[in-house]
Amino acid sequence: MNLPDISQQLMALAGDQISVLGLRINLGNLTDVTPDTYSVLGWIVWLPVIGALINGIWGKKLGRQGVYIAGIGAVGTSFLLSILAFFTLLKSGHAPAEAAEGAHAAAGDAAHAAHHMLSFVARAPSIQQVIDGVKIEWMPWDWFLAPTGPHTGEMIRMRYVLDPLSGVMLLVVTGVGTLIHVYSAGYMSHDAGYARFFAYLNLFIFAMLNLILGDSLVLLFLGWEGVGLASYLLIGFWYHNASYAFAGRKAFIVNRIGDAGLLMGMSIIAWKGGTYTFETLRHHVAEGGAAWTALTEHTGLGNFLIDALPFVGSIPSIASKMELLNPTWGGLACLLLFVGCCGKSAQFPLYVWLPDAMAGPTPVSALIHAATMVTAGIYLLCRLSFLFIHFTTVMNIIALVGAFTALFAATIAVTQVELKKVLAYSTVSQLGFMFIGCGVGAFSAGFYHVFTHAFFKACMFLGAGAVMHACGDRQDVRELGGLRKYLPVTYWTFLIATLAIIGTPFLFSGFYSKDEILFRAFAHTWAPGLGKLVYAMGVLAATLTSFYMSRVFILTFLGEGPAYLEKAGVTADSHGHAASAAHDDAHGHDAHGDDGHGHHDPNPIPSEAGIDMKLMVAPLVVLAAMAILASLLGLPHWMMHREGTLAAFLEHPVADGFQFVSEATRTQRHTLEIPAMFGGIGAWAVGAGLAYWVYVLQKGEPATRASESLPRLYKLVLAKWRIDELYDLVFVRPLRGFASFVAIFDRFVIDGLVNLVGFVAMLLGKLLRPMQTGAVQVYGAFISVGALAIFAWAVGAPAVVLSQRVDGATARIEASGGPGYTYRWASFEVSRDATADTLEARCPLAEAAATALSHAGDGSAETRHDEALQGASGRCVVVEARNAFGRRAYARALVISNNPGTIVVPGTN
Amino acid sequence: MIITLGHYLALSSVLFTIGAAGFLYRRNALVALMSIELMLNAVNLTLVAANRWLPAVQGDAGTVSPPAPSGHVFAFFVIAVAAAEAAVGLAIVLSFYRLRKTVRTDAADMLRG
Repeated sequence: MNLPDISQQLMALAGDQISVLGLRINLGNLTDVTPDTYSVLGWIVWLPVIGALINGIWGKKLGRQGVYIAGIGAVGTSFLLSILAFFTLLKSGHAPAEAAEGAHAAAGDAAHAAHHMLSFVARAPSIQQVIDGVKIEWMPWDWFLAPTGPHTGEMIRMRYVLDPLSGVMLLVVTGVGTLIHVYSAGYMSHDAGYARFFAYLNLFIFAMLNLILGDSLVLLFLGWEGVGLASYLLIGFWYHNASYAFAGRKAFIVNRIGDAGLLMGMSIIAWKGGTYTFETLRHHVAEGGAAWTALTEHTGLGNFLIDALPFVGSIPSIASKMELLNPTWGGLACLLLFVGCCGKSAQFPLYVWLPDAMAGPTPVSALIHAATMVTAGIYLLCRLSFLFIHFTTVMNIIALVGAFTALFAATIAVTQVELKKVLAYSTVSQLGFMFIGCGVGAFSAGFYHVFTHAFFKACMFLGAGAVMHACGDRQDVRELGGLRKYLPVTYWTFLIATLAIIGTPFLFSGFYSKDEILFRAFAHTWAPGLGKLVYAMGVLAATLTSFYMSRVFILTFLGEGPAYLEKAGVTADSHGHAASAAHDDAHGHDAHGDDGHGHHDPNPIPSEAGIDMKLMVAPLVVLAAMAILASLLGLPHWMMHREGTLAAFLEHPVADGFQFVSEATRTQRHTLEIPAMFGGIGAWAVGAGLAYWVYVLQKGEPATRASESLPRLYKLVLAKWRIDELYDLVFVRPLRGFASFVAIFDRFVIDGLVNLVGFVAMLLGKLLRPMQTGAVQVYGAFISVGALAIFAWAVGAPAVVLSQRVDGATARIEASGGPGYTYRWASFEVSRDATADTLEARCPLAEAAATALSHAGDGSAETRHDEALQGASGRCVVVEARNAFGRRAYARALVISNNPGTIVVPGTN
Repeated sequence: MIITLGHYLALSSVLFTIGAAGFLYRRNALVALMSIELMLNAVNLTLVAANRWLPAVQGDAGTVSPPAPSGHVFAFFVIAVAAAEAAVGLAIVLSFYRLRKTVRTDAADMLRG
């Protein structure tokens, strides 16, 4: 639609080939479409929901094999189509460069895909593309008209847009999603709710894809709530266990708090910005930004001081375009959106749900609560980066909240003993890093961390799941240990993921992504001292990360064999199935409980044999490989002398905070990048070295000593700083108290009204019940009486009553009506003499009927008669009413006019 | 004496009143049914009699044709419906007799409120 040039170029390139890792794919037929009708996007989004419906409705009948095929098939096909769509996007982006270079594109080799990505960046964009960027889209239908103000609205379209940002996210979600589906087939193989699990998982993918690909805030919100629902369903998947169900509710409620912020932010954007659609909003912001720039240049103030110019809103000619950029409204909108991000992405005040979310099955923790859903907040920030970048105050808040969360969660993770709890706090901490990146304006760096984190954290969660599956659902590191020789593949992949997350220099993706964030914090100059503070907090958090991840890894995989086996007296040689009485309580720690997932042997010898474990370790290998390979997309500037590939690729959709970094910082880039890097390397070395010294060389003895020398602090951190208890005291209990107070109104007033209605109905029933004698002849009598009444009314003499009204010199006489009545009106002069005082005496009925009515003509349906009076006179008004059967009745009224004043004597029959 | 429509209507009214009174006063279900038949036939009588006194139809070409026998047709309908009603009514009476060993209508008050 907006890109006619691209579609023309696509037409010109019909039949072009692309080679991916040596594999030649003919994209000509598949990609030769105008960009706005790329229906593959529809299949990508809707296939998972079809899978969810199949598994949700017929899951029980399909059997495990069928469920497996439907669930994995839906997501796997979606992934393959995503790859196709992604390359179509690359091709449409790189088409101009290719057309210019001509024969150069023929060199099909393994680097060709990377070449496509790079030339995507290198091409010279048209002016339209500067605003809109390269994208392909699919719009099946208009959805509904959403209000953007009291009298304005915008048609919300069911429109999916693939651009570089959503493209990368799409590949991560469907790719990691597919791997985790495969893994789940093994992990959940003993679970009774197999079909339900896959249905929920597919539903999650569907919602997540709506979130990513939707072109407006409304579709994003749809996906946002959808993933929240899927998350709730999956956390409480084993709902028979009350505490797991509670964890699900907690996640749902805490997320609702954030979502309320998101909804309000959306509303302000729609109200002040006039649109929900990202592209339109971007145009508005660009126009408004230009107006701001013109104004700030005119007034001689720098770009930095945008926040300090609230008075500009009063200049009408540009105010309409700039209203959203007004710091009050725009800043408030962005802050509220950030509250939403805090909820979904587990940032400081609202992070409490994520650790508890580990109650769900481990694949869920990996997919939803580590790799994809929790990064939705960062995705939203990146998507709206063009807006956020204008509000430095909000950006500073984001950076500070991110840094605090990163550090805070890392301290908790140091003390935790359950594998998944450590990983959960680690996720919160890493999400904090991503927010640091966004907050200092390095949106692409934050997003790069989303990308790398998805692989290594998913790998670690799945590794933890494999350990639990192999060790009888144990995840307390004190019961584990020495698993290296039992679970070699898990060991190696977990090692790679750990090295990646702790930022091992130069070889692992985590190093590059974390380093880029720390560098950008270091180079941050918007607010004095803020960048350095955030950098210091980030380095400290990175040190703690390096320590606690190494600690968990060492305690789980290195050292002596699993503690629970030694306790039970079982060794790998004896292959005993010792059901020692001392271990009956061992299941107290597991994360599965009563799910039917437990093994028959409470103390199994861990092993990677068996089909379940094979299905589980295969995805680990892929994810570990990606944890290394993802480095290639983010090699830093000092190494490659250009922007990282991903950053350059995302140049378009994601704002580059460099525009707000001072010129000096930009030119000094290399001199800043390398010193900043030493902070990250130092953090890695100190943390990992300390962990090695404490847990390998000293066998954990210094840790015990430290916890004993500071017992109160240790207990406080072990209890997660008692934040849950604090919230319980400050929010939950007062709210409960208030609710029980308000419930009084409900119980007595609302319920009272309801009961009153019921009571009245019962009373009427009691009164009327005796009529229902059940005897048929009584009913017959009722019918007879009713029929007679109707007969009398319709056939009997008409009953007519006159009423009068005096209006000046006119007296109006009105007769009561009846079915099918016709009237004849007449009047004649009578004496005004008041001595004859009865009506009959002054206006005899016989005379009236006989004389007056003989002149009155035919009857009419007119029920009114106006008698006009001149001077002093007395007149008798008579009416003859006739019913449909010709029965007649008469009525008369006497009208006496004195001078002045008129008296009407009421008439009778 | 000339028999007029009024005579027929008077007879019909008498028959109908007898039927209605019989239905309301007698407690034997069979008699109640018979009373209903009487009422229906009183109606039949009015229909047929009214048809007899309908004016002849004046055609366009000066022809005169007798009125359409709609009253008779109505009467046939009533007879058909009465037959069906009698069949159903007797079936109800029969099964009620099996249930209660009586055909008295005042025993049939199971639907009392």
